[in-house]
Amino acid sequence: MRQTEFDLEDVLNAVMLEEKEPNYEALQRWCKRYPAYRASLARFFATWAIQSQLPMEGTVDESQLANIGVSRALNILSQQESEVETLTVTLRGSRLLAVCRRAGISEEELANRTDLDRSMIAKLDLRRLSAVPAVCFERIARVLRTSAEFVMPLITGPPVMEAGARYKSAKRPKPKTEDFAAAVRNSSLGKTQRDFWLDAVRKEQERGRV
Amino acid sequence: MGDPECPRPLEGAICIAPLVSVDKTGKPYRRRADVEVVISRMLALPVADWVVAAQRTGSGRLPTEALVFLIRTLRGSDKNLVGALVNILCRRLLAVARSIAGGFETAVMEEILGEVQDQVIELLFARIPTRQTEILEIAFRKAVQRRTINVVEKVRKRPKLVVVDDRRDDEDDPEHLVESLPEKRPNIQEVLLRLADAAQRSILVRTALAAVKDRRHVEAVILRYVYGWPISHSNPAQPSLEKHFGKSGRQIQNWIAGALEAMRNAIGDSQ
Repeated sequence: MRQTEFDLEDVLNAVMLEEKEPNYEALQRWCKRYPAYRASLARFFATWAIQSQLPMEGTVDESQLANIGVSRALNILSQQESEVETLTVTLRGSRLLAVCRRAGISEEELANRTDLDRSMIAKLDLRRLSAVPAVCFERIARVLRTSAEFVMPLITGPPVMEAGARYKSAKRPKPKTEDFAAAVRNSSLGKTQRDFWLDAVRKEQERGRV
Repeated sequence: MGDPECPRPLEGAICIAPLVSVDKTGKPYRRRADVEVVISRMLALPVADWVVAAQRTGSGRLPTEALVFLIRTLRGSDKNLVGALVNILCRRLLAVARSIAGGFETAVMEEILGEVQDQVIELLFARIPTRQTEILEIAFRKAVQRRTINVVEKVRKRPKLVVVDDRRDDEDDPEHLVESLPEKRPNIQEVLLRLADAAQRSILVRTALAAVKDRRHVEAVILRYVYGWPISHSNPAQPSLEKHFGKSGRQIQNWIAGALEAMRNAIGDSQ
């Protein structure tokens, strides 16, 4: 997902990544860069500075805390599983974009969050792409908060004719399909995304051959 | 973010999904090259071997950023395995958080560590990737430190049960203390020199904390002499000790003088 807003948490993470020590010069530099966060930055730098110097005293039962962490993690996973089950029932449908609409996700949002472009999403919706890598199903499933197994038939079923498409032939024409990799090459994706998808296709083909 | 010279993935390695967030310049977030190499190797192993690999210490230690990736890859597929990996992750997280959560009673420290751990676990299994979730795969330690500092800030802002009486601060005259103190105490310059030395600083801070009536006095010394904060600033918008503590410059000077005296005594006693 391409977040554009750079909020205080992002600024503080950037501080931690760039600064070795919370000295005053660094604080001034960050205040100049983000004057809106001056007060929060000053508090953060002061706390960081003081905590770095305070002695570590007392004994904490880390083993017990870690066990609490594990149980919290497993609870979250169980909760997410039951949410997926409920949502999958609600989202039932045969076309990708219709399911997205039901989930309150626009075509553009789906494209952004899966690192695909709108042309690719449209082709996936019309089931015009073959050799779609598993990571594509997984990403769409993650956005829709469902499983890859649910997403797969939406994309790999028989190709769909575009609504309102006209044809002169007496016989109904067969919709053209395209290889996923070719569609990536013809897309408007940036180099990073394009390389990622082509790499994913290549790896799957290699594994398939084996 | 990450290493721009990210090497090509290992030949035949399993594809690792790139991170999807971008930094403030629009540059995509990237994992460190060494983390991606380790992830590729781990993905080629049976998942049952991941716990053994994650338990290794020393030079073969699995980077925590890679551990985060592996846990996210497994998610709910094998609960026992996820539990074992999360346990290792939590122990690493707690060690990092603890190193920067000093100066509190055990119960408060446990509360701080528990909250940081909760936050990280929420991010670990978040369904929608954001900068906050993805930074765990870029710089886990820094992300945990940052969260710990924020939680400590929150805890320190809480109203205290014991109210410190500040009224005597302006009247406190460190000069009075000097008369009754032994001659072997070093002068202030020597104390400041010792403060500049990280190894000696921790002893000085510890003893001063035990001696002063309000820990803010020692904090003022740390900010002033270790990190270079001015007591006041000509531009009131700029950070200063006056602004940070909400006290007058004179009062802060008295605090600092008192804390330095405590440090002088500590050195004098040890000599």
